[in-house]
Amino acid sequence: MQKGRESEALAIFRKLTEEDTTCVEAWNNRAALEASLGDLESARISLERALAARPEAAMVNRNLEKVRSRLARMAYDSAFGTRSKLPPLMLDLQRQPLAPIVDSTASRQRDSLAKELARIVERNRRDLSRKDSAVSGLESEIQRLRSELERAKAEADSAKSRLAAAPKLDTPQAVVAMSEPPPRTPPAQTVVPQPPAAPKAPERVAAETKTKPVAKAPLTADAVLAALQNWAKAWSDQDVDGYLSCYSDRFTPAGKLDREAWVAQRRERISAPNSIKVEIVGPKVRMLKDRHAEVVYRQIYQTEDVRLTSRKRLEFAWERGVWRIFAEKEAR
Amino acid sequence: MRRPIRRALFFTALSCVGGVLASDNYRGKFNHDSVESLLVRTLDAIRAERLDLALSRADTLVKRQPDFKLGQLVRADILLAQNGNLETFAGPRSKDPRAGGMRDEARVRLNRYVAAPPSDQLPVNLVQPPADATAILVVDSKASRLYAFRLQEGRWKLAADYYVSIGLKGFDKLVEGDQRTPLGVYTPVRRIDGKRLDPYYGISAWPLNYPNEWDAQQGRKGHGIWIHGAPLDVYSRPPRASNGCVVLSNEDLKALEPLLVEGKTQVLVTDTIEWAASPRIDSLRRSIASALEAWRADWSANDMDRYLSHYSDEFQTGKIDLATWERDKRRVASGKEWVKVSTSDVSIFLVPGRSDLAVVDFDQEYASSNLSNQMRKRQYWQREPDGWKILFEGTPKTSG
Repeated sequence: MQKGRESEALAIFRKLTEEDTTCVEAWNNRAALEASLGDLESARISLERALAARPEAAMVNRNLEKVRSRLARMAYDSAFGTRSKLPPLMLDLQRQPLAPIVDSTASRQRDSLAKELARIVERNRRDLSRKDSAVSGLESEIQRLRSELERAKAEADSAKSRLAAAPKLDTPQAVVAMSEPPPRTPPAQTVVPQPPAAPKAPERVAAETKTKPVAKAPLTADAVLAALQNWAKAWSDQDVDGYLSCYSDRFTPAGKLDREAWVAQRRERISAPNSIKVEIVGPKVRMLKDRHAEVVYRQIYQTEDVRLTSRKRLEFAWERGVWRIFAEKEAR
Repeated sequence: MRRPIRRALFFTALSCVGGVLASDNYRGKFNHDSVESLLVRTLDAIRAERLDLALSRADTLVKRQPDFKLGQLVRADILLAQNGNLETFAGPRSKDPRAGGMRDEARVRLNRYVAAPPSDQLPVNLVQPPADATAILVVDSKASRLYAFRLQEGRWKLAADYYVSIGLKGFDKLVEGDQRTPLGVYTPVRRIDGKRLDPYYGISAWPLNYPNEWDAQQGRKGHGIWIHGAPLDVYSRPPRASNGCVVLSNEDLKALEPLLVEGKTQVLVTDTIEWAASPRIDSLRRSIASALEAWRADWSANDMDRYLSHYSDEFQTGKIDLATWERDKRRVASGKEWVKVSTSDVSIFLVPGRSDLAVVDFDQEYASSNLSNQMRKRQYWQREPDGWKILFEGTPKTSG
């Protein structure tokens, strides 16, 4: 990376560590950038912060050892008036987000589900006053969400009691095992709600992108790509609600943030810049079983002062008639 | 893995020292911002096996004084010890000949706090400082330390002390080029400002009057023994480093300069300081002062037998032997009807390295039937089986 890009990246990781002071991978990567920019003292401090959050993190320990060796060599040079030829120090970068600590995945799910339900009920109530035709479909959708909420509630409670009994786990497998929702039947075509007043209410366009179903051949790669573009557009438009509605209720943010904190963070980050431009380059869709799909693409994120390019992998799940983001990862 | 590391660091910190940092009264004057205090507290944290604390102190230390080479080295050692990679003092650089010098510096600096100077005692050498003196400097060559004593409310007290480097080959200078620091009672003869010096000598240099009259009498040779600063780009040098000079950090020299008065400040360079409580020093003073008084009284009585009995059999003055000198004295005395001698402004120091030899300075007023004069006189008195005897006398040499 060139110096300028490194400084930009460092600014981002600095911000990340300020927002979540216990985020091990952010501290590690911040240290890696500081080291490559030659600021080994800061790198050492960042790595120590990472270890304070997770003393056993292997990569962080390795990196800290490298930084200390290099600092020692420089100090010996000062002590003996020698000058060793030292290349810039390259530290290992944490590319995969570290597993979040299992805390309340299930209850988080329940909470967001409840919010989603309330939102839909509210919107539909307004829509209902104008469009009776949608009533039956929406009522069944409401019914379905209600029962899903009940299920999630029950699951949250049982997960809570299991968690209380069991010691804390922090392996990714454990997260999956504990938070896997009960098997659900994909909604039948008949249950898919019709878009209420879709083309006729221009002041509501943003809201509609949220649940806009793909009318034709919903379970195809094209539909997944359309959902991806919707998401990128909402992000570019800085339409936070639209953006958030692109995510599955079962979406679990990477890192240590819970869903609520993640939502707050996204809300702030998306609205903060004067402008955002998100470009999707070369997306490749792979349909998975159980109405899941995966898209790998290059993402160009640009604001007035930052431009970031990254390989991304998004997993979508067919949910309530829309492809929604189920998981979000950096791709290798 | 961890044990050898700790042992190595332990060695760094405390080889030849042992024990805990002394909690003597004098430690109350411990200046926590000083470079040395930061070093000592770093070493103390190492000794307590608290490497994180040690590193944070070392960080402060090198930030405060980046050119303090020992500080850099200790910090490097701590970093490697944290990685579990330190096997010995100076780790991968332990074979470098300079590592030994830095280890010695760590040892003597630490030692100063382990065996703190007693607050209620003085070097035995300070029998009776000159009446007009306000400061006396005493160098302890073995401890690489310069102690500054000041007169405070009528009592001599230790006011400050500093790490110093001395001759590469140690002390007790004998000949030119032996790279040793002379032992004796000296005085700075002038100040040379750093602007007129090679940067190697730091902010200033104070040539001492070596060889003095006693050194010359002993056949000691050489010249150019100075008190001076460390090279401008280095904080300190190892304990044994100079060609015989006494070298301080420039920071310390600057603090010391107000006490250095050309031709006046007494600088005692000792091999090692013998600390003594005041009763012992008082009794020394009484015995030497009474010998001096007896000598004066006998001379004033023009009683040549008794007068000459104060001189040692080993007495020498210049090239003249005792017999010739005695004959001379008796001849002069026989021509006088009366003699009156008075002494004032007496100062007495034990000559460093010699507990049986005192250097006594005084103003002598001499009057007789045919001659009167006044002079500053210096005598060396030696303790012999039948009392203190004069071994050498002359005028103090105050030039370099």
